[in-house]
Amino acid sequence: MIEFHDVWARYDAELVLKGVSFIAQSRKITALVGPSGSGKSTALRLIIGFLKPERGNILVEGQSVVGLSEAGWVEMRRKMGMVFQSSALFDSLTVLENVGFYPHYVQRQPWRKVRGEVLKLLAELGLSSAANKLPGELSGGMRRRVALARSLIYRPKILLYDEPTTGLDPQMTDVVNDLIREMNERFGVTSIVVSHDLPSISAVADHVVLLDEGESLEVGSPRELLRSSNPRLQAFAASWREQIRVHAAELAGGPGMAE
Amino acid sequence: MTYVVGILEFIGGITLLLSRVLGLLFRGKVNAVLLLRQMVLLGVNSIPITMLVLAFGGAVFSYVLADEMAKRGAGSLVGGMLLLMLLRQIIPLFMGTVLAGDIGAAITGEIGTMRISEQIDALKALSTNPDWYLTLPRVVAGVVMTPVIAVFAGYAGWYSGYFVAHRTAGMSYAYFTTNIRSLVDWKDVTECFVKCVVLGASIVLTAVYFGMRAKGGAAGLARAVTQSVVVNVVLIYMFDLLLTMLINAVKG
Repeated sequence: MIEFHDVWARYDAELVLKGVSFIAQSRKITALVGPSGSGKSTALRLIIGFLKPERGNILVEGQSVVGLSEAGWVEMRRKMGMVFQSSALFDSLTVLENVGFYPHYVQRQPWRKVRGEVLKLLAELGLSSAANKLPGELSGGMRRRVALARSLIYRPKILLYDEPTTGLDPQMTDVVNDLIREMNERFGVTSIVVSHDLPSISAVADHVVLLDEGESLEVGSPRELLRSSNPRLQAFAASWREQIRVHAAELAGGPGMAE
Repeated sequence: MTYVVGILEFIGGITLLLSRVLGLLFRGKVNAVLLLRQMVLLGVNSIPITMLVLAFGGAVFSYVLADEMAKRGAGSLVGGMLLLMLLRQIIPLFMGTVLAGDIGAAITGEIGTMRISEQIDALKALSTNPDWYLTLPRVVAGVVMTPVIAVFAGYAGWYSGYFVAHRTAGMSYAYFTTNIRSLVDWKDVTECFVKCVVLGASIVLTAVYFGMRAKGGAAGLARAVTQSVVVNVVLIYMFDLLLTMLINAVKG
């Protein structure tokens, strides 16, 4: 479980989070949604320790991470994985070396053993043919899947996704969403997904937290958000419904789609 | 005022970086595979260009020396003086400047790109200390390989200098090397080695420092690489002067 209690935080000297509070339940997928600049990615960076809050408390599995030392963060991050918006693959290493990075360099497993495990995971994710390729030779969707594999190989308890479907075509978006759901169901991972891709959130999230102008509004399920009578949520839900409608029309090859 | 703050930030940042690297080094944290890779990339790959530059350097010094010394009937001193200059100044300065532009720019470019594309953050997210994975192998490789590069570069400067002396002043090799033992001793070799080690560490640390601070996309990366090379060149000449004064004071 991840808990934010009245968290205030700055990013590049600007106050981005103003008293944010929410709970991401264990083994559930929690979505942080909101307009650009609302502090979603900042919240992820606070959870993984790249930023420190000015005020408030953040608990990860019951342990406060505010004021944790660098050595403490090294241990804490062993429980976490993060899929970056840009994928952040190591561009001088092959796919095999990227995914095998943690078991080989951090867990110090011999490369012969790591290679076998990595190839097995790549096969599960449909990436076998990409094993010896460099990240620059991959498509956006493949890079996302490799980034996911790099985090999954060491079975973290917590997975953080920063805009996992941004820039992907609808088909690849569904593939990534299915993977996020599968990881949650198969391994019981506590997941936090930051996204402004509302149709994706509908597909994967158990629980939604709306961030708007640095403040949080814990909602419930996507369905509850769409049915809320709260004016702020209604305004957000209206844009969400429109995006869902457009997305459904695109998938069905509706009006406006090229033949 | 901005420059003063920048200089103070640089001194503080480099000091912290060096202390972290030394801490890892003394705890025996060097990864042999990472180190070997950097020794090839930074060291072996830099030998040809450094030899080329030192060949020109040795040639031009010999050209001036041979001409002037021959006019004064002191042609037998040319070889010894060339070797003395190579060991004390030409190798550290010329080689250092080449390495600042070669490996210094490459390190800043690589690490700066990693910083901008969140790969450094990805390392931290994977519980990996960026200083251990990136900085330490490069610093150790720089310190170990710079003297090795200097040997190759020195030979290039020396033989190129002899070639010029032979062609312009008709000196034989025996004549060229007449007064080497009276002009050059092991203290000069030690001076060259000490300078190479210091410059090797300085070039890599400075390059890593600017790489880690890169931001703002392609323009920011270009700025970081430029700053890295410029600051490195200034430091090379500064360290050369300080070390020359210090070593001469020790020699007495």
